[in-house]
Amino acid sequence: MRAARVAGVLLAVGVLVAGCTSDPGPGPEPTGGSTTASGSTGYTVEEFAAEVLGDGAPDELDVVGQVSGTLPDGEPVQVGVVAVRADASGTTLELTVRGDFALGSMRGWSSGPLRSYDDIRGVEVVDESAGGWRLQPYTLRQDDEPENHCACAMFPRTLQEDRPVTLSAVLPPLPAGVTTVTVAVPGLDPVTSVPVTWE
Amino acid sequence: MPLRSRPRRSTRAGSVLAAAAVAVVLLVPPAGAAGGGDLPDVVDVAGVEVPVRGAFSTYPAADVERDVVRGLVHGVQRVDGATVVYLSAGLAEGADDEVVLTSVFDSTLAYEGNSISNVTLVDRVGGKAYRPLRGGGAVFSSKPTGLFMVPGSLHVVWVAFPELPPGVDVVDVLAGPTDSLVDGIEVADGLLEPFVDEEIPLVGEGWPRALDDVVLTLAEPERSVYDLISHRSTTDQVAAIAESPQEVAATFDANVLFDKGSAVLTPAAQDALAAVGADIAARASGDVVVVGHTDSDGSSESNQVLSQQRAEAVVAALAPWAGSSVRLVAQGRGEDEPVAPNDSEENMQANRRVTVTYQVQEGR
Repeated sequence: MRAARVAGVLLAVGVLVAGCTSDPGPGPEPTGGSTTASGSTGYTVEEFAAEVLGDGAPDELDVVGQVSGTLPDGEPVQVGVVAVRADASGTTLELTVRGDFALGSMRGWSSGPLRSYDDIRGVEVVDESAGGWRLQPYTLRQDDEPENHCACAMFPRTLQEDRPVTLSAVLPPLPAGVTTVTVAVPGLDPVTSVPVTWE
Repeated sequence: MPLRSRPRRSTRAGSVLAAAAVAVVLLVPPAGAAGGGDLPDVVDVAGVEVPVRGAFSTYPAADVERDVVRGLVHGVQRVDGATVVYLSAGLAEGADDEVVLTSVFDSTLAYEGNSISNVTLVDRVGGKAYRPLRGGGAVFSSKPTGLFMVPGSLHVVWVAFPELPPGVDVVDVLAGPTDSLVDGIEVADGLLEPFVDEEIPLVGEGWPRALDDVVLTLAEPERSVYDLISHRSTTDQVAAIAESPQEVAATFDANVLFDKGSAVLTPAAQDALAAVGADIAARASGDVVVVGHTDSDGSSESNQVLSQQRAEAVVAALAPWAGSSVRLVAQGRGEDEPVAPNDSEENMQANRRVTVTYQVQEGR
């Protein structure tokens, strides 16, 4: 069974358990809350919201690999691989993307020959071992309708240099025992030797 | 270190929170993780037990020029006839105070206005995905229209989905305008309580009365259930495979299987076909349909003949793997079904292909 996981946005909530962990992660210091007899923390409505919402700054996530390049229209882009998490049921790819351009520049990430989508279905996790596969995000199909939905992130309408966005995707399972993969983003050099976290 | 929590055991039917008798923060260690990174399972907020299953961030209307929205997934709750997902979202103190909640949780044209449809559940194990309920002109979610998000507040909404099949214990949640992913959410039982009358309360005020005054019989749940299609290709990209729980569709690059204008398989073709052949032997049932396609170079008639001959060549190559439970069928479609306009060499190359489609037997 896969572990429930909290992305970087909840790092602020890490302070709720700061006293119980060796690495509570980044986030603002507790702004409130009272300690119960059991050592647990209670919050007011406002305090809890403040813990979760933080100061409103965009996520700045650590990456395990990254690549810089240009999109087909010449716009520079930086892609960081935050994580590749795997278990027997599937693979989660988490990217952070930084640049300064509009949605149309990124459609090469998802385009098929006949149409493009506003999501990242074109990214791949590549198992470079013998007999390995290039894995792409799951899509959703109903009857013979076009596969308009993807188990992956939609592009934002624009990107700004100082406001990185986190984009994730769910892909098919990797073979057990794969420890590193290549992450391929269309139009950019592949990010090699990305460690796989098995859950 | 990112924070995470292990999946929680489902509670008994009824209120998941009513089952928790003591209002405390429950700390659970992360599954498979060394060291820290613990996450509270349930947080006491103003005396209300608030499950925290995962978190996400996005931007209003997917516009990064606006303030960051942060949100939580509080529960994926199984009830009779439906599954209810509770989420919250908010803006930090000091953010723009004129952001409407519909810029985060909105509906598409396929849904009634004033409903929430941009949430998806993914069941990786079962190979299904679920979109919010719809049908009968009814709304099966909170009604977010007209609500402005108050900076410094977390607004709670609920969205109803088809009832998840028994045995579905964990799902992924995609939510908001950029389909932010929160993976590995354990499915629990019962609506979250205590109830409050507010349509969209704040986290800690209690939980909205999900499904209250909703006629579930109006829903057409079959319209909200999707097959999850897995996509993979060989590292040399000669073969691309799209697979649902019922069907496999493999597309081969005809430029590798055949020399130009030829219907004789190349030596490389045997290797390319071997994996699909083995899969057919292991799992296929019924017809295995092999279809040849060409680009538009040459006459339509010659392309039709070439595509048929190529399909037959592939059928012959796959025959050793075909047992008695399958029937190999060759079809030529010539240049009639391009996957790309024949206006560039790259596109024409994509159109030169052979597809192999077959049904797979459950559990094999």
